[in-house]
Amino acid sequence: MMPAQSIHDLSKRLSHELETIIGRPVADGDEKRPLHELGVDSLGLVELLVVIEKEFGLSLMEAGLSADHFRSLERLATAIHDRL
Amino acid sequence: MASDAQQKHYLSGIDWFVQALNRRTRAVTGCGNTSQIAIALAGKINPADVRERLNRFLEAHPILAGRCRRNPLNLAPYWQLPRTMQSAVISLDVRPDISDFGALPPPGLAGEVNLPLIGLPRIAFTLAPGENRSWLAMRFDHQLLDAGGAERLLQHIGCNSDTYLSTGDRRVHLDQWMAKFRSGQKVNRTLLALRDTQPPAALPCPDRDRPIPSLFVFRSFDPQQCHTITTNAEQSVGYLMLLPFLLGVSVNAFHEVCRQRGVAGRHYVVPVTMNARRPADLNTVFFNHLSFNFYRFEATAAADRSLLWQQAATQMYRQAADRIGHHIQQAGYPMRILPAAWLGRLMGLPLAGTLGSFSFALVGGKEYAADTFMETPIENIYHMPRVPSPPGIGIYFNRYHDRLNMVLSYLEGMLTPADAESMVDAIKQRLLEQGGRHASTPDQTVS
Repeated sequence: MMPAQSIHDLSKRLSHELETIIGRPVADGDEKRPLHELGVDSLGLVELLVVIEKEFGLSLMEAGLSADHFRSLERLATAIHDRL
Repeated sequence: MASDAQQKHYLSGIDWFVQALNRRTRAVTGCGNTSQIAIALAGKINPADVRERLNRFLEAHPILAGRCRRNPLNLAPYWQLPRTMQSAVISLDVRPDISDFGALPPPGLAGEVNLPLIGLPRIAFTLAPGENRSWLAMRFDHQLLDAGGAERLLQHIGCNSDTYLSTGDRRVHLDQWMAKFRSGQKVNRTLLALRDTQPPAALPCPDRDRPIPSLFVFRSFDPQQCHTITTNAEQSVGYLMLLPFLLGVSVNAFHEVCRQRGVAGRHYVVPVTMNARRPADLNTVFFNHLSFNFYRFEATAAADRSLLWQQAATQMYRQAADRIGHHIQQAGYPMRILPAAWLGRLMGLPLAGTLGSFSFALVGGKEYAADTFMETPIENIYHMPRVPSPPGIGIYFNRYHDRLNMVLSYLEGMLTPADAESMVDAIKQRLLEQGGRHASTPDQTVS
């Protein structure tokens, strides 16, 4: 099992990518908030999934993720970590 | 006096597409590519105060009274600011005769949106005053404002902000031609992939022996209904997948109307307008900061909403991965060399003369964030977009705070009023159906 630090790093990387997508900073603690509360919409989510596919080689659209995995950047990072 | 360079704001490729649409729309409707936003106000508002606010705003933003011109040396189109603003006034038409107020925009406002914007500036207002509810509508020219920018402009006026509104990046963009050419190739391939031996199924446009007005049918969803729709979207398509959910239901309802009318066609193509403001331009008001995605749906699948949703989500993902929106923006720059009239004809070539089966957009809810206009509380904000012809018909959604509104915009004669109401009722019903995924009944009659 990879160290918890890696999930934290993944979470930070996703935060950085999301900042580019939504056009504003993702504050500390925001990685625990649901994506829709951070202003992410359909297009924003799809853009984030595209970034994840390109960076990690994971097609999350086909990975059978549930809404629960998107409850926060942290959970999404965990889903990515579990599939790497 | 400002120098020539300060008076010129170069148009982007998307702006030039809009110029081409302006010509096409004017040829059919007698009126350019204009739309309207209608604000339902929970109370009175003083026309004199509004008039004063508007003209102060115009004085500070002469761009509203500009015109499209071309640089004679490099043919790049630009928006030229006026040298003088002496005679320019923003029109405010006070209409006490419009008094049939319900929760939805009164029919009298639809008449306003079909009037051409005569002279300058590029916005005009109508005020239907009431005691407990008033309506304030802004008619605007898409040459200068997209829907998101129009909402931002309204908020700016309504909040009496003194901030000068930025026009964003207005460089001439006569560089990086190879990258723009490659973008054009990608766009061309995308459009060719949408083609078939037949054009996409579409309702016939009315005969053009006279200017044709646009008609509108509205529905509004309260916060509880919005929650239901969001839940249904999540269960049917996925978390945050509202746009593909709305699009799938809209295609399904349009398909039923086409079947009832005997409109043949193997597939539907739907151009979807997207807000393409870059993070640095999020607060930019003027000009068009948008792009498009194109969705294709097979008619054989259009009776099954589950299939439509799956196709919509998949295509949305693929176009995001291929950066189609970005490439459309870039490919537009070299197209500026074409006269707008020629570009208008060229735009319809890939899809055999049309731009799609119907037009679609979901306007965000982030643009007008305030809950008042000139201190009067806002109940709701509606969009009344006029659709360039063809296709001449569009289904649009906009959000205002915790509300969602839908409008069907169509050219008079494309649908009977009863068919239009039925179509909108069908969309509303299906958006609110509980339980997530559904298999449609192919022969279900819209009622």
